[in-house]
Amino acid sequence: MDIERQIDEFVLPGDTVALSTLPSPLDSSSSIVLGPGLHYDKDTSAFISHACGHIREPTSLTYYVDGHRPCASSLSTGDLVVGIVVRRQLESLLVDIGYNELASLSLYDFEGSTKRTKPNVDRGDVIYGRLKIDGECQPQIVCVNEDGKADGMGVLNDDGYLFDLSVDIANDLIGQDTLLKDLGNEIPYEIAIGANGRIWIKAKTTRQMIALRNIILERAKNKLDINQLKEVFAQSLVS
Amino acid sequence: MAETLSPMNEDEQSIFSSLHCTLSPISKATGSATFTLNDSLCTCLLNGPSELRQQQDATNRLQVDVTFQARPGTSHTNSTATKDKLIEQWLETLVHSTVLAEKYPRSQINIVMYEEQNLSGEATILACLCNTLCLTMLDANLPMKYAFAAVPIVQHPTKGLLSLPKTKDELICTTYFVFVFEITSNEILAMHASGEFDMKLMEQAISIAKPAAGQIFQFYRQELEKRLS
Repeated sequence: MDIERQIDEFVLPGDTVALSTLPSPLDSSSSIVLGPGLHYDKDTSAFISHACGHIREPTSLTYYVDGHRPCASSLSTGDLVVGIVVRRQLESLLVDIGYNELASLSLYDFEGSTKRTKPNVDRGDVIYGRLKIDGECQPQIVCVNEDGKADGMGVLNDDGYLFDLSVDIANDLIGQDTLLKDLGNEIPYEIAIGANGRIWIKAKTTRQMIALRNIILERAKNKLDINQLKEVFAQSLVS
Repeated sequence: MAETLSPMNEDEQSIFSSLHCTLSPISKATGSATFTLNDSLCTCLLNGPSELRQQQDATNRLQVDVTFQARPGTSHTNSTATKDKLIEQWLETLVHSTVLAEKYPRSQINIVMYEEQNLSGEATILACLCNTLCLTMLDANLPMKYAFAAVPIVQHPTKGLLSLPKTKDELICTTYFVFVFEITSNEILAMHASGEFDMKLMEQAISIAKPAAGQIFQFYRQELEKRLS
């Protein structure tokens, strides 16, 4: 009954995955990193999948299930997200990041913010920040790095353009894509990609922003190569 | 697993011809699926996990709400509001036993199921509902302990026990079983039975249903992998 699935094979929830080529998974010298969708069952000492998709090994001893992820329910600490401010409270903001509850963002977690000078943020503003989720608490966002600097995070400009995308494509764009760099050689633009599938772009003209959006959506829909994409981009810039 | 090892024969092909599904037919929902089993067609959609709306006692786990909407005016299932509620409860326990509810504290998911067409009896529609539910949860990619598949079995007066019966056969039967199997060890997760039978008959029915469940899992794999490629 127990056929173990190998790397790059398709799994359904409940399938046993053969990752135990190592002496012992609890051996500290060779620790395994299990990404989303995988889980180690102590009772049967086997690796079990919890999601459907292909098993991937991006780097040695790191595994995850690469599947269709339509929603932001798989966010984790350290992810950069784009959110919309829903409510302003006395010392914090409530931000919608597409998660199952609103994230809170303290007004002191902006660069240069003190008790006297709080940033001017209000309902409807778009925020780019780092997410912190731990266990039982409400998710939190901070807009400064460890040195107290903004590092690109904070309130995003009003004249940008925000749209939604599937979480996989957003992660692809963050991870290994050269598309954004190539587009940067064509026209100057700013982009903020959230791991929750929200993308904010800003370029000089509205037409350029629409063209950028088209190209990203085009890439999501059909897997064209870069040259084809550039053609589409040039067309949508003109027409 | 056994289902990938079993050789293809004529029987199996007829099983695959009676199954059909569409994934994500409803774009605004987190996950949705339609599933066809012979002459029954169901649609299911799932929203969430989202913030817990009502003040309920689900502070440490996921709250599951299942709504089942039967097709009005179907004579075969003899559907009543009470029966619909029973089906809802049955499906809810299924979801509770498969989803890793601890991963989503203070949140809830809403599942709405529609019976779109049902020309055959209760057995097929129940199995169809279960399979639609599983495909929807897989489509939404909720973390689950295992996938499950339901198989209807009827006792035909002349042909004996039949798995995944055709409408014509099912309508003259009075005894039926629905077994829900899980993928890991092919154990029974839930069952529903009606009519006159003894233990021996039920055990026979289980042994017939098991290979059929394996084929449904194979069907799941095919369909879900098609979408990813």
